[in-house]
Amino acid sequence: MPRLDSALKRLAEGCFVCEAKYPDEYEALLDAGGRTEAERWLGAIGYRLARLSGDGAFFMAHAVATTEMRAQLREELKSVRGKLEPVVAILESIRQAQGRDPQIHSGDMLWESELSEVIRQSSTLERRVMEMPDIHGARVGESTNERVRRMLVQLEAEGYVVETNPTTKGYKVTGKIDYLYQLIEFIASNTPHLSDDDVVDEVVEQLRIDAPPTEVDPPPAGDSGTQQDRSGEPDGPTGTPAP
Amino acid sequence: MTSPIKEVLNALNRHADLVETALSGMIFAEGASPASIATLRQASALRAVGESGYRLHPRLREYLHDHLQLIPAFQSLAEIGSRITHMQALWTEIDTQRFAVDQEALSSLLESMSTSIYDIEDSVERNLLILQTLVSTRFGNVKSLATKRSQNNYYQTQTTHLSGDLVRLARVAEGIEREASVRGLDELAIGLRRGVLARLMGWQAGLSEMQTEIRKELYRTREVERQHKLLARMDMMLRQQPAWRGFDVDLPDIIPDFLLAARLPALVPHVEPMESDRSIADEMAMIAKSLPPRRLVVEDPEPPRRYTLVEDPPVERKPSPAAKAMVRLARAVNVARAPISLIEWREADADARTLRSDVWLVYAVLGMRTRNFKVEVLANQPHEGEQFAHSFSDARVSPNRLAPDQGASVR
Repeated sequence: MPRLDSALKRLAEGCFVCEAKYPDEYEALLDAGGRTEAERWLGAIGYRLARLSGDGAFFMAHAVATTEMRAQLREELKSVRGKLEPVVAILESIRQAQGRDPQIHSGDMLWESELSEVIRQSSTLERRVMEMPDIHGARVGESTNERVRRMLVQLEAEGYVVETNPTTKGYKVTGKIDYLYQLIEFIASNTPHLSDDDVVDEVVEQLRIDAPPTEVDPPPAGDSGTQQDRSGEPDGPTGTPAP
Repeated sequence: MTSPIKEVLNALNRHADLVETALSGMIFAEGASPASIATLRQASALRAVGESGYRLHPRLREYLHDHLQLIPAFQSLAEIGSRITHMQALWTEIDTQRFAVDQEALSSLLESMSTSIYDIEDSVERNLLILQTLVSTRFGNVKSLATKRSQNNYYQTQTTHLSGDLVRLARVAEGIEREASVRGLDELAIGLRRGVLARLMGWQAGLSEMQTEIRKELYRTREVERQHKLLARMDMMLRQQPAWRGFDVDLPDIIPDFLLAARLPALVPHVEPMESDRSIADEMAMIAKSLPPRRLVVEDPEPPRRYTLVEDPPVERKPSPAAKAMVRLARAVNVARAPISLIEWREADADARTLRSDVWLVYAVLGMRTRNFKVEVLANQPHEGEQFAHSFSDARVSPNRLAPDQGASVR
């Protein structure tokens, strides 16, 4: 089974074997026999076969988390910014460029020309992209198109997208993106920085300039105002965190 | 003689282009032939909408969609609630008319009941087929996340209604079938059993699977939205808190799989584990124990070939007769009181005579001068017309020795 051999090599290299990037290897691991063989092989060297989700990418994980490994993981999480910073900024720029229809999940397509055009049309997005740090090889004074190209190339180097159409510069999002989302989810559930459990958005009617001055009855106890979904938008409605 | 049905079908056939156009939306009087519109309106295939627009008859549109397998993003499922009510009403009427004299009316009612059962069966099957198609294709190719979420909610509501209708259908059909059997209407009871009751279990199971899939899709949609939100907030935090490097957390007992993602280290020729790293040291010890035992070096039974340098024994070189004569000559000169003629001394020595006289003369002159004896060459008489001769026939060696530098200068 040459495809299984290749899949095992990819797993050993620490790759996330997904349908978008390694279709043959992914198919070999989807097969029950291939998966059993991979589990046996990995088990013999102290690892196991894992998936990012029910139908997500396959990867190689430690079979047992030792005390030393836990300590090492804690240390890595103390400096997790290095893992997040370049990729999160790029993906968020792409998400904003895609507007109300973001497509940055496994299997979604990104087109360089489409992104460049949208970003050029928005001065805010263009400034954000041009001021973005940590883009490999970025030069002062280069065009927006060039910067978008570098962003996609960097995402490809990190393994989050794969170029599927070199002619029209089409990139497909790989299954590794789920790793990033799960990491952010883990951070959100273990730190107060991203959690909005204690946050209640409040719109004070008197401060709205588009509303006529009216008498506002004080809200009943326990109801601090209109609930708004902030949706993480930086330019969303003004929110005041509850104490 | 023609029938109204044939006329309608002929009208549709003659104006099929207009029917096809009307299938995709409203048509206007300005964009179509008035005669075509009039004919289709006469056949009830077109219905007026607004002031100058027309739409296809809903049932005709539904039929064509069904035929073409066109499933809009928000396809309404066929409603069976009214048909169940109709079936219940028909049964009440049949029960009333059962003993009536007018058997024709009863037959008509039974035929209507049979049609209703068929319609219900067909509607449920079609609904399940549509749902299955939509679920397997992830609800069609909607273009945005918001539409997908809205569509999922729509079908969740639709399937909930359909599920309620199926429960009601089971109750009504069982009641009618039981009463029909009791009242001797076996044909109706058999039709209900075959058409509805025998399939109810499969319909409910299929619908339950669809609802589960739709719930999963809804959950997935919510997850996607949450991931987008967290991505945006993470980006905002990284921008606003440049000093944030990470966080300290007590890892749970069961660590999420993605945190345990690993890769095999690249092979390195020299591993130098740190002494403090216990795990590596243990692993190295384990690997060392698992290595095969070292091979003992067994000597080769046949000794290697050795080579000895064989040198010729030193040959004692015997002095030549001339050398012996030279030694004796030097000894004789040392003890002599007057110069010795080399030619005369040769005549008295046998070894010296082994050389020719001229060779001996040159050999002896050089030997004596080397030993720093004073040698005087006796030149021959010059020929006529010459001042001196260039040849000599004898030499005399004096016993007096010269200093080394004098001997060299005399030469």
